Amino acid sequence: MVGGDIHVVHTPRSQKAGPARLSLKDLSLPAEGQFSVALKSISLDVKGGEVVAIAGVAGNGQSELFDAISGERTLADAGMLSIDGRPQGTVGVNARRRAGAAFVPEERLGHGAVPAFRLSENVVLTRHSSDASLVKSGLLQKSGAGDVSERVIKTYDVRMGKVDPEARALSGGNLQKFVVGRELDREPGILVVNQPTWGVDAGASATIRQAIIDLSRQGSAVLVISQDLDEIFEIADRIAVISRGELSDAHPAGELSLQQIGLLMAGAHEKKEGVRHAAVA
Amino acid sequence: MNKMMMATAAFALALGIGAASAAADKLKACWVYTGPIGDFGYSFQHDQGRKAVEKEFGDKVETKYLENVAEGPDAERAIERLARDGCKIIFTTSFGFMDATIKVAKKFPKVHFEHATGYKRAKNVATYNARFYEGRYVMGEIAGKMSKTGTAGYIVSFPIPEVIMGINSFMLGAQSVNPNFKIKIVWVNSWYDPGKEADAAKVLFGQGADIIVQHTDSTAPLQVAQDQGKLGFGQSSDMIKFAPKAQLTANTDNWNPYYISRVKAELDGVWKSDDTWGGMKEGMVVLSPFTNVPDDVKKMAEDSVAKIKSGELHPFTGPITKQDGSTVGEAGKSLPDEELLGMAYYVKGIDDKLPQ
Amino acid sequence: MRLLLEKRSEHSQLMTVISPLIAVALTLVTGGFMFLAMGLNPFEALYVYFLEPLKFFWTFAAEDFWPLEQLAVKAAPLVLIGAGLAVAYSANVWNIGAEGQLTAGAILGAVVPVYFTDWQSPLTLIAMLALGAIGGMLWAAIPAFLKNRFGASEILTSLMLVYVSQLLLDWLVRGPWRDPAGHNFPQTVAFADWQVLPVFGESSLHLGVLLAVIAAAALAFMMARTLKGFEIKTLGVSPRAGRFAGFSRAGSVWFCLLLSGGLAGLAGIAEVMNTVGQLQPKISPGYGFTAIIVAFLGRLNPLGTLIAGLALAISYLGGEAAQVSLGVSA
Repeated sequence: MVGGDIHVVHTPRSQKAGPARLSLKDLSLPAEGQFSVALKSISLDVKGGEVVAIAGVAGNGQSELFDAISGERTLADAGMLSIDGRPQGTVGVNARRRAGAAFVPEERLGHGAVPAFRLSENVVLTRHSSDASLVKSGLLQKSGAGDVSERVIKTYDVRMGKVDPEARALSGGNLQKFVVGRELDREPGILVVNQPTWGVDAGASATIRQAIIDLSRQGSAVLVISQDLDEIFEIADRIAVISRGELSDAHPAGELSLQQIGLLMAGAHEKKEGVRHAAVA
Repeated sequence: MNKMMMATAAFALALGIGAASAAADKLKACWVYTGPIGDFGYSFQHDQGRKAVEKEFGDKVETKYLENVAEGPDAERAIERLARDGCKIIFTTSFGFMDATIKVAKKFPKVHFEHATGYKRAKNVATYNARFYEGRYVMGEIAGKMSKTGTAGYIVSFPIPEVIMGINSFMLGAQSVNPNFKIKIVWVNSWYDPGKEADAAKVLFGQGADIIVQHTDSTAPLQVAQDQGKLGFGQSSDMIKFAPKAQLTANTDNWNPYYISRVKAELDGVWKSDDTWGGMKEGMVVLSPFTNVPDDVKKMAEDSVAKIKSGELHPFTGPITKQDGSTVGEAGKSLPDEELLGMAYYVKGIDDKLPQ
Repeated sequence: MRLLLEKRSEHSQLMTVISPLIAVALTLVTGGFMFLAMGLNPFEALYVYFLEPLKFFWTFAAEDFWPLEQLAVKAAPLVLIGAGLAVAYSANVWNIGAEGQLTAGAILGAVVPVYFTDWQSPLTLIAMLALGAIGGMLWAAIPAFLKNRFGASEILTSLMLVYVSQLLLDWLVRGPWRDPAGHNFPQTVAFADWQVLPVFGESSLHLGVLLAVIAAAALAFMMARTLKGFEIKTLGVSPRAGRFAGFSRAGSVWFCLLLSGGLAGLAGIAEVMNTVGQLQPKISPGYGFTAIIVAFLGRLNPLGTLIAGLALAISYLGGEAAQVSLGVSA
């Protein structure tokens, strides 16, 4: 970002994590077409107060995992995914949002936000079913959406050329701040973010990472999917690695070296001949 | 600024023209056609009548027409548009305009309407039609003589009495010279569809017919006959230009005398609602010159025309045997007009079933 | 020097309004030259063509109201169908077969006059209109099902169903539904007085005109102010974001096809309940196809279709006016 201060991200390690707020249990999902990766028996608990990161080389099932967790693709069995102890695997994205979860996808334009819509309209995109001030008996409440939008813009320092611009008129960093801020503004119990600072300038990255950590310190469970190891070490309490649709166990960040992560990325944890390899650490 | 001025000028000019065209003190006589006047068939022939009216009365009348008016949704508006435009006498020239004509006539009691080929009349709605079947009888006689295969192909539009009457009359004429004569029939379900009509002609020639007859309005079937070296008859107007080697004669409608007489009545203030059904005698049905036929056939045809004109010959003279074997009409007497106008059966010998 | 065309970062509001106007202006200029080539005064011809139907607005003469009524009557089915198509196209649901849904609506609605000829009740009209809408919806449900179940392109399926419905209509009016007293003409019985749409006063403005205005206004409201409209727009411009918002693509395919099909069916039955007055092989001069132009000319905005429908009605009726006033061949 131009003209912003470079922040130092402040990450006090969580002293005690609460109970698991997001639980994945033997989550499997078939591939959707030729270029998609199948998810194989993924298990992971994310507790309140901690940030768990999933590292991996692009194209190893990250976006499939995001879709499975967000509910854009629903699962075969409700128990594969639980939010605050309640099975939610078979319900869609809006029911999961109403259960307290929030999601930020990798693609800002065309997935997290509609390029041709104004920011206030993009607020409605993800919050129409969980936020009563935005929609009343099927009618859009434009003032409600405007209020949210202004609050997000102010809190997360979203900079733009005119009032309520279309999403595509924003720079990558500012739009990302808006898209992340739109979810953080809900104070969700669970936040799942795919590539939080991909293609974002340093100032905006710092703002976003700090906000993510702050959310977890308030007791929310945060799951970050990222290819950026620097980012992961900066914000994560625990780290798991995905490769070819399989997820390793999550290890405390302090106990993992870059070399160990590299081995996991190469598939050291993958099931071979039915035997699960011992954890590397 | 410049643009504004130009637009304003154009607008003012347009208004001026609009106002000027309203000032005229001629009798407006108007026509509504279902086909294009360029069909060289039915609508063309009505338009010839309009032109004859213009020629006859010169400055005293102004004529207008709407062509290609679909039978149905648009007909009523088209007729009303003419009535509103100041037309005093309006000729609606297709059967399908019947209800629309009656509806508009109710709204404009001072305007006189003339509906061709229909049966609904009102105080200000007259009907008129021509006894086309007279011409078709003579065509049947010619076909009976000229066909080597003894088979004619017949292209038809809709199974209404008018059309069935024509088929029967043609068959009776043909049977009078060749009792074993055959007719093959194709329904194209349209009054004007050159493509379908041409296809039908090809199919019929392929099935052994060597003479084509049509109750549709385009020149296409005759052109196919010309191309294939076969024979045929023109419909509604003389189509010899399109098939100089194929046309034997054409069953032409001549509306000119009728239109002139009705417009004259309107000009003289003596118009009244009437029902006119004229044939060869009245000059409404005219067979164009007999071509591509030997002298004896020509003579036979001319004799028949003379006999029909004199009343000596009526195509539908009883008893007539229907397709199912029953008979209709008293021996030696012609069928009454009501019987003809409701005709819904084939005569014996026609190898086709009426669409039910 | 090199010219670079760059995409605007935002929609220009101004261009949204102006570009159709530019298109119209270019049409006028081209038309003017064509009239000139035909040896006519282009200003007079354009006046007759485009302005005479609107004469009432500056003359306020009672007799000049008639062309305006005709315009509204002609525009009604175009707007009714066009407004529905505008919504469907906004969602990237390409219903090209409105003509078929119109035909299906007219057929189902005509069940009342054909089979319940003597049923005379205030409900008769409502039943006919409702059946018309249902007929259109049923016909549109076929491409919706095929799209969602098998991924078949609705462009092809809806278009092909146009011909199926027209053949069905043709068969009905020539066969089982033919008026036995109709001199063998391929048409059903003429609808009775209580089976045709009421008109306002002495005019030719019928209930269908009002329905068209209501439909356009209601759909414009839906698109601008409701979550449903938001859903349709989102799925149209950005399907992935629509899925992220939890909107169902299959649901929107159903909704849009049923909506636009229902309105087309309503337009179909309204046409035969007024201007036509019975079923016959041809009941529409292609309103369902012209409405596609109306939807786009109206910038896929239901209120815009109101204006676009009138504009196309003018061009249609203007042709007739030009024949009468200028003696131009159609």
